[in-house]
Amino acid sequence: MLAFLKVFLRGIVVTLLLPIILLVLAVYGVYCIFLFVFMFFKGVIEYFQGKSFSTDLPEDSEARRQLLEQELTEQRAKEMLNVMYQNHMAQQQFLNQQPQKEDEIEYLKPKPEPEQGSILEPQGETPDDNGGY
Amino acid sequence: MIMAAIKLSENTKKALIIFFLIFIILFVLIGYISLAIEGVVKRQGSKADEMLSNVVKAEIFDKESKLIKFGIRKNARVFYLESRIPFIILLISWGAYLIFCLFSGKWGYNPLNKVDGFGTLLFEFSPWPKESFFGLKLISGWPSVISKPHFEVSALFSYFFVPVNLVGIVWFLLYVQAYIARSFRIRKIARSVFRKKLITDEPASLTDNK
Repeated sequence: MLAFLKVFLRGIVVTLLLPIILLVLAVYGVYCIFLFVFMFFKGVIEYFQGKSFSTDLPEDSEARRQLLEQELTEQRAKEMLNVMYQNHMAQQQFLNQQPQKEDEIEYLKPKPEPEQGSILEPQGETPDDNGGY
Repeated sequence: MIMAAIKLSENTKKALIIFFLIFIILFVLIGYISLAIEGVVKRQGSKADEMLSNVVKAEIFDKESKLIKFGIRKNARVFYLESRIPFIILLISWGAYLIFCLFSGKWGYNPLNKVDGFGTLLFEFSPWPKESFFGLKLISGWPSVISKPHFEVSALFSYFFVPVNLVGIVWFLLYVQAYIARSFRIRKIARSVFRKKLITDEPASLTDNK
């Protein structure tokens, strides 16, 4: 009922404002005729300048260029992130494939150093303190 | 007291009820028509969103007025490209009218006249008959038909000119309406874009000050 009343009141308001609405439309109609003629001559001038008359303005092409650049940058960043993520995952996978306990890991140990003179000394007999055998 | 003093007959009451019903239905109908027109205007205005979406996304303009100027320039171009067909129709019909006047020698020919114009296809009624009743002139009957729709060979040109011209004018006015709708929408978009920016910047500047 409220919606119906709203539509009814709207009808009354529109009827009261109808002369103004029609006046605005008529004024704009006349303005648009002049606008059309102006745009026609502008189109003719642009045609002879070798440009095509379209709705695209220089600002539009600039905006499209910027958006494309932005998109490319985002795409590159995404690709970079993707590569980094894949590298990280591959590293993780490699490490996970060889699970080893701390005590099972064979660390490389330095070889024991030979005692001094052991290589020069003969293997069978060893000299005594006095130098005799 | 006054209402009690006025005694209405049954017929008058019925007539009043019918009158009020017609009154209500008429305004409700106008209300619904206006709602439909509003919907059409909104749809036409939404084209402005497409027109400005790229420059708004790329943030080409730093001022509201610059965005509005750009929108107006672009809107004029869209209007010109859209309204070419109805304008050409109107141009051809008025060119034909000039040629007709030139060959027939009937300068100032009214294509809507009732003798050799489009008026021959319309009904023509006499004025309402009136009679004096206690010093008052009241309508006493229905008007009689003076002329019924009939075909006239001399009015042949107007049979083509009037409908074609009517189609061209209505079509052109539809594009004018679309132009007005887009103009309003452009201003609304420009206002909303730059107002939104101001609001989002505000908290940042406040936190910076702290």
